[in-house]
Amino acid sequence: MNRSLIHLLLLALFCLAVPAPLSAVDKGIILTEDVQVHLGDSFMAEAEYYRAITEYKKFLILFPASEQADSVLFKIGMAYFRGDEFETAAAVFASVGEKYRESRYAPTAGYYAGLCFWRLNRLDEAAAAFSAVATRYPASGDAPRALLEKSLVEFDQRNMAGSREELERFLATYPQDDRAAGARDALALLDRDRELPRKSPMVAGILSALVPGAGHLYAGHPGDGITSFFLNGLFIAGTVVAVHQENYAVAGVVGVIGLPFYIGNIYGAANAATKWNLNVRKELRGKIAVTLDAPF
Amino acid sequence: MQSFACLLIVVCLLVPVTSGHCSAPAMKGPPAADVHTHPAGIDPDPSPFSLLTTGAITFYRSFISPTQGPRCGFYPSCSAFGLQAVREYGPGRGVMMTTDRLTRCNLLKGPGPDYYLLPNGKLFDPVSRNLLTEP
Repeated sequence: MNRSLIHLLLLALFCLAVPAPLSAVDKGIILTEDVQVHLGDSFMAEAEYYRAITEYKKFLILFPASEQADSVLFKIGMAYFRGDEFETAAAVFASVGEKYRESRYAPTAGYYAGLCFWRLNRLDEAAAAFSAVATRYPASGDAPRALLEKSLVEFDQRNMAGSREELERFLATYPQDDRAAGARDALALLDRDRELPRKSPMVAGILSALVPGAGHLYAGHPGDGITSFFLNGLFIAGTVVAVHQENYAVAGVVGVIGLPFYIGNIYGAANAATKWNLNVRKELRGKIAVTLDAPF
Repeated sequence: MQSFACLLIVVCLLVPVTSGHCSAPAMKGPPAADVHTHPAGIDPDPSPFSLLTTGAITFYRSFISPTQGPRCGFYPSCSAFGLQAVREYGPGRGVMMTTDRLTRCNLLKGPGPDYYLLPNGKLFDPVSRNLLTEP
C-alpha cells in the first residue's frame, strides 16, 4: 500500500516536472530585426568589428527585404573602416550607394568611401568619391565636408590650383556653413605656400661637390655638414699625402674608401634639401588640416 | 615484405596529416598583416658588386658588430639600412645611401622633423625617407 502510494507520488512529481522545460521555450528570445541589429551594435560598441560584421551579415541574410538593410550595410562598411580594412570598407560603401541610391546613408557612405581611398593613398579615387558626394547630394550634410576633404586631397596631389578651387567652391555654395571661416583661413595659408622658403636639391648637391658639407649647411643640416666636411677632408688629405709620398698603394686604398663617402656627401646634401622641402610642405599641410578640421 | 607493409601503413597514416597542413583555413578571420614588399623586389641586381657589398655588410653584422653590441642611434641601424638599400636599390645607389647614412650617424643628430624618436630611444630613419623624392 505504502509502495503504491510512493509510486503515485513519484508519478505526480514527474508529471509536474516535465512541462517545466517546455514552458522555458515561451521565455526564449525571438529573433527580430531589432534584436539582430542590437547584437551587431553591441559588438561594434566593444570594437569587436569582425563579430559585428558577422551579426550584420546575418541580418542581411535573415531579413533581406528589411527597411533597415541600407543602414546595416552601411554599418558593415563602418566596421571595416574602424578595423582599418579600407579596401573592403570602400567596396561596401560603394555598394551602399549602388543598391540604395536614395537612402539617407548613401551620401555618408560616399564620403567614407572617399576617406577609405584617401587612407589607401589612392588620391584620384578619393577625389572622385568626394566630388560625387558634392555633386549628387548637394543638400546633404556630407557635401560641404566632402568639398573640404577634396581640397586637401588636391593639396596632397600637389594641385594647389585645384585645392584653392574646391575651397572657393565650398565658400560659394555653403557661405553660411560653420566651417566657412576655416576655409577662408585655409585659402590664406594656401597663398603663403608660394612664399615658403624652398631649397633646391641640385644646388645643395653642387655645393657639396665643391666643398663637402656645404650643401648640408645650405639645406639646414649643419651637424651633418660639419661631419661631412671633416670626414671627407680626412680622406682627401690622406689620399693627397699618400700620393705626395709616392705611396700609391695606400693612396689607392684610402681613395677607394673615401670616394663613396664623397659621392654619398653629394647625395646626402640633395637628400637634406628634399627633406627640408618635405618638412615645409608637411607643416603647411598640418596647419591647413587643423584649420579645416580634417580627419587626417 | 613485412617491413614494406609497415612502411606502407606509416605512409598511409602520414599522408592525411601532411595534406592537412596545406588545406585552406576553414574559419575566415582577420587577414594576415601585410608583409613589406618593395615594388622593385628584393635584390633586383645580383651582380658581383651587389654580392660584394651585401657580403661585406653581412660579414660586419655577423662578426664585427656583435663585439661591441648595438651602438647605432638610428632605427634601422646603419648596417640594416645599408643592407636594405643595396638589396632594394642596387649597389650603386645603395652604397651612396649607406655612406650618407654613416655620415649622418654622428653625435650632433637629434630628434626633430627629420627623425622621430622611438620609445627605445632610437631615431627612426627608414630607407623610404631617403630616396630623394617627395612622395
